[in-house]
Amino acid sequence: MQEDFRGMLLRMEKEGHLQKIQKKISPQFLTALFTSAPKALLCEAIEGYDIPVVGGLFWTRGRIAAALGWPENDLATRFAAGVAKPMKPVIVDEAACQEVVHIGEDADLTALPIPFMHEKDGGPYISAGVCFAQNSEFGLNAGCYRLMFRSKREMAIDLFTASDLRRFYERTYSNGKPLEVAVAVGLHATEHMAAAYKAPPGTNEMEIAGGLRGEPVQMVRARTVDVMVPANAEIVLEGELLPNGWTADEGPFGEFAGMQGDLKHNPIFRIKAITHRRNPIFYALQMPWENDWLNGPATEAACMRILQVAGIQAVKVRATEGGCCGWSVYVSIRKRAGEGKNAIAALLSLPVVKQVIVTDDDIDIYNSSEVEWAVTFRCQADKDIVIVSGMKAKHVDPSVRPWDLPPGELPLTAKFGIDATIPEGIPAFRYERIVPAFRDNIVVEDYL
Amino acid sequence: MSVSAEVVARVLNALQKPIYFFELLAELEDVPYRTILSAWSEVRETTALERDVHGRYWR
Repeated sequence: MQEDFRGMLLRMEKEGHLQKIQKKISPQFLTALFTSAPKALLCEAIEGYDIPVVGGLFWTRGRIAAALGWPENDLATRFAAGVAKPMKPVIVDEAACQEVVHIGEDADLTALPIPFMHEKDGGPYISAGVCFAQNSEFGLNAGCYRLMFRSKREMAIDLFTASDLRRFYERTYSNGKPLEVAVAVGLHATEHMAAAYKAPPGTNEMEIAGGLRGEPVQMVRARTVDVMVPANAEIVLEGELLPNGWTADEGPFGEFAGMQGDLKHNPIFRIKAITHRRNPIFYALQMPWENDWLNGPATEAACMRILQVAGIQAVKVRATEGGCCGWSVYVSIRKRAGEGKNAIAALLSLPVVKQVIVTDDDIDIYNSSEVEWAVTFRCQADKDIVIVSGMKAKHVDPSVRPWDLPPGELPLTAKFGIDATIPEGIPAFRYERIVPAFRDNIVVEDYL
Repeated sequence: MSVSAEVVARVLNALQKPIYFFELLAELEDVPYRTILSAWSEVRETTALERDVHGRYWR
């Protein structure tokens, strides 16, 4: 049987990555709890609701690896392999996500424990919503979008930045018509990660999810809109993006870069139905790290790919947490002369990557102290730091002063890379590391 | 779920000055979260709310 969201939770609990909490808690306190806990938590007793809430599933590299069931150091290669072998979903007639159906007046968003998450947020948020929409030209699209609670049947959806869903919406909006969408909450990590992936237009992200899973995703037609959704979702909101355009206040919200975002104006999502499993589990994705780690493996895979194109033998790639799993990367390579700088040039051309450290493959890039050691002793700042000015930036970075830009103008940024590989001309023996005598003769556990 | 007129009135009263949503929750700390959201729903359906650049609400 295909592992679903709750199957993933069960496995994570068995492996020690998730803990069940029976003590009662109100939804506005969940984020403070989830983001302080050493494990993912499933809070079973939510005050005023009969739906448990889980959070913190992808909070660290270790936890997202556990959710996926992949080795922690193989996230990039496993992700790349999955993307390379997409599998078409299979369509089913009956689905767990439709075991309970509320239509029309019976569909009430206040029945869901939608948490209030960050101090300056504009309201309670569905942070783990995966939106599905259909378009005659591009087919089915899935993507991750936040939704702010407005009323029992309306939410504001963030369609501010360019996306496939925004493209679909612009088309229906220009005709004065609504866009049918379904929002799934509580999807397996493979489906969530595929939806977060910036796939080319026309790509069905659920085919990528199938590739990541190694088996086709099961999907079912939603009850009130012409959209397919994953059959094993915990909860599905069906409805329409109204043709109100970018007029409804939305935000602020705690953004993926770890900073409080701005108040925006966005379209309204009006629900027609809520369907769910019996005894559904609500997933509250915690910002910023859960959101960032969903993108981390894709960033690492993109780095591997571009280094391959550049003819550089990359050994390991690490998208660091401090760089929000995309803006800062460490790479170890088997270097030939000049390739430290070549690697920097290639990696800085990726849209998100803003800073790079390149090391030789004797450095464990998952150990930040080792990386720092390499920077300290293998780098001369006047020769080995590469700065490139005037590159494409993102508005979310305050250091590019986006507020000074005229409306519609894209910001520019300076990027840099540090070549922390052994400089050309210095023999490797100059970097010979100290080794404890008779290291192989000692088993530490025998003495502790 | 029916919303008591008293809670709606308290929400409307709080919105007489610019207020963050978290301040509204704090002001109604004696009211169950779900009841506050139901009252908020009613307010948003019946009252045009202003927002400032910081995200505060008022009416």
